[in-house]
Amino acid sequence: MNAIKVTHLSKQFGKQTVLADINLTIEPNTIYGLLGRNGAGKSTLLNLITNRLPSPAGMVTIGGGNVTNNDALLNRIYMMSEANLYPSRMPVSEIFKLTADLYQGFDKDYADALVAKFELDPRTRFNKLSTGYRSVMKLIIALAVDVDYVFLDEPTLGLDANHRQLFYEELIDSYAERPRTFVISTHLIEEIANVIERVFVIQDHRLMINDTTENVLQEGYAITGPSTEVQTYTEGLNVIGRESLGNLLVQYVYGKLDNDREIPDTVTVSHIDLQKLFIYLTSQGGHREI
Amino acid sequence: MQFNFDSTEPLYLQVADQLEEAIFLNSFQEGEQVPSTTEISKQFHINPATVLKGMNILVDSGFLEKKRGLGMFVTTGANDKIRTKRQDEFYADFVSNLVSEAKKLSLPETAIIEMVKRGFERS
Amino acid sequence: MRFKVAFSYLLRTYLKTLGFFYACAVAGIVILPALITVILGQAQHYTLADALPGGLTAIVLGFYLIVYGAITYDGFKLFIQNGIGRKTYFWSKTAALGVIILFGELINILYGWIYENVITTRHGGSMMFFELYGKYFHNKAIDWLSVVVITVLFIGCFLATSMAVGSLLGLFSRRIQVTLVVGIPILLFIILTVLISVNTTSSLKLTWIYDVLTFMAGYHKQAVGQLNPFAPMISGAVYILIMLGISYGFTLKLRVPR
Repeated sequence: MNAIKVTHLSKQFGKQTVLADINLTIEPNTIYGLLGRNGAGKSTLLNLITNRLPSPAGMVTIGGGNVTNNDALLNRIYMMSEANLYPSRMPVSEIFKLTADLYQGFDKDYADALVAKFELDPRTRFNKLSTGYRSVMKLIIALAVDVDYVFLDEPTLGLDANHRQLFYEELIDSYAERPRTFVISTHLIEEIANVIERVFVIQDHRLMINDTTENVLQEGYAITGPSTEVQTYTEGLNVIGRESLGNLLVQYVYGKLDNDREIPDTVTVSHIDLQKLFIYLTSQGGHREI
Repeated sequence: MQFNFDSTEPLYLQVADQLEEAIFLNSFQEGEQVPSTTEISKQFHINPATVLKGMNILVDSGFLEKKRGLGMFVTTGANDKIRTKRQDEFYADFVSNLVSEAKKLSLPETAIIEMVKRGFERS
Repeated sequence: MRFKVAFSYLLRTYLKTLGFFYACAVAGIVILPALITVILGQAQHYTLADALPGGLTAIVLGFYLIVYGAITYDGFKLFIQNGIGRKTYFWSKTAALGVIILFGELINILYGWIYENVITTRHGGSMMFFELYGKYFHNKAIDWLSVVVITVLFIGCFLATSMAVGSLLGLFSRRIQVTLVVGIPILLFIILTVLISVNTTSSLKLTWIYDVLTFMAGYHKQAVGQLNPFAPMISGAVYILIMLGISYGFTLKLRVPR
């Protein structure tokens, strides 16, 4: 199987830059998290990779072949998004049938099993489904189509806690059963933090982080202690955020710590979770007083 | 088995620690099969690759063994091996922390030894 | 490969909806008036021949093709969601609607025959191009065939125009679409009015547009009935190709979201 390569991808809408010179590789059989704040360009990136937006500046290839209007390659990709691209008056069961016609290898039995698990009524017309059930329907298709790359743009939109839990379980089950790549773009970072193997962070229309989740977490530190000691210790390090409570200061650092520097007794160094790391990385050194 | 996720340790090490603990407490008996990577990852929403990485640490330590086509099993003697390993780590994990905290609190050596003795008597 | 899948999916959908269109037409033009006459107690005055227009199927087909030729964005978004690109979408749609034209024309011929021989006893008039080009080859079969070809191409012109317009509209959001659909005819009307008023001394007939149109149709006053059928065939084919080319160009620019 071949990787998806994105080279020098840029996109402007009018005069507004949405993506600037994105370069990345999406490997087979890997679960990715695509993180970024609203308007960072996540959806546009996914729309370009899946050729929903045409002829961008730059290139998207799979195994060397350009995806633009390339059915053989597009057919190995499925993207679920908030945009409703199915005929609005069509019942769910018809949409499954249609998908089975157009995507070879659609697993009807699996889809039916998921329909039962999520308690989706297949006779309902698409436009009569609630936001949550629209997501459910698209997720079922995303898991049941036989493709190598699945892109999920806000997959849990409108889903209640039970359905989200069920979705993550089914995702992992399906991934274990038939390994393939998932790229998940979501704001619910906590929920996917342990599921994703690699992370893309888009900030200010550029790719800011492209690494394994493990490495990203290893590079995120919280340095806690009395204000002056903490400031001395973090001098020259990449401080991405701080919180203070009286004289107690927490500075969040992203990147390698200076191993030669001695950590004062009063200062503790610990790691932070992905959600917190993301918030500070994407809010440009915000200072919070508590 | 229970995972208490915190962010201070890489996830795969946490998986390894928790499995080791479960074996040590005989939640999984020697010779018994442990849950599959998929089962663990499904239940705790952890990437299967991460779980596998954690399991492989236990395989390398000789606490688990892979049986082709069957799954992962607790090795015979795993319990003793874990005990030995933890005994070796006891000094670094507990004693040195104890001493450094005692120093911060200006507690003399004799007082600490006295406390340890008291602790043993009570249990 | 993917073309086959896309084509067969579209053709099935098109045949279903075309059938629905025919059914609606029959219901609206035959059944409803019949019911009304029955309700009004005038059933004895009702005749099928009066109720049915001779070109019923042709009208339905033309209307259908204009509507479904223009629908571009909905088909595109469905196909791109299902991993089918713009090129395949264009070619499969063109091919499927091409088949629909042939199928529809077959229905027209059958209907025309039934209309002339079963429903009424009036003859002729169901093939509009017959009176212009019907006697050129002096061979019934070949003349008939050439008129069928011209008719098919004529319908094709409508379809291709509709596809070109539809694919252009498909690039824009609903609001701009409405503006264009309303604005362009008004603009054309204004231009036409200006043109005519500029040409007050001579009617529109005498302008170059008329000359071009008559040239394209191969029209000569002297030879009505025996006009050269190759003229409309060639100009029709050229027109269709140009319109399809325009449509293809716009189709390649389609995007989600608009």
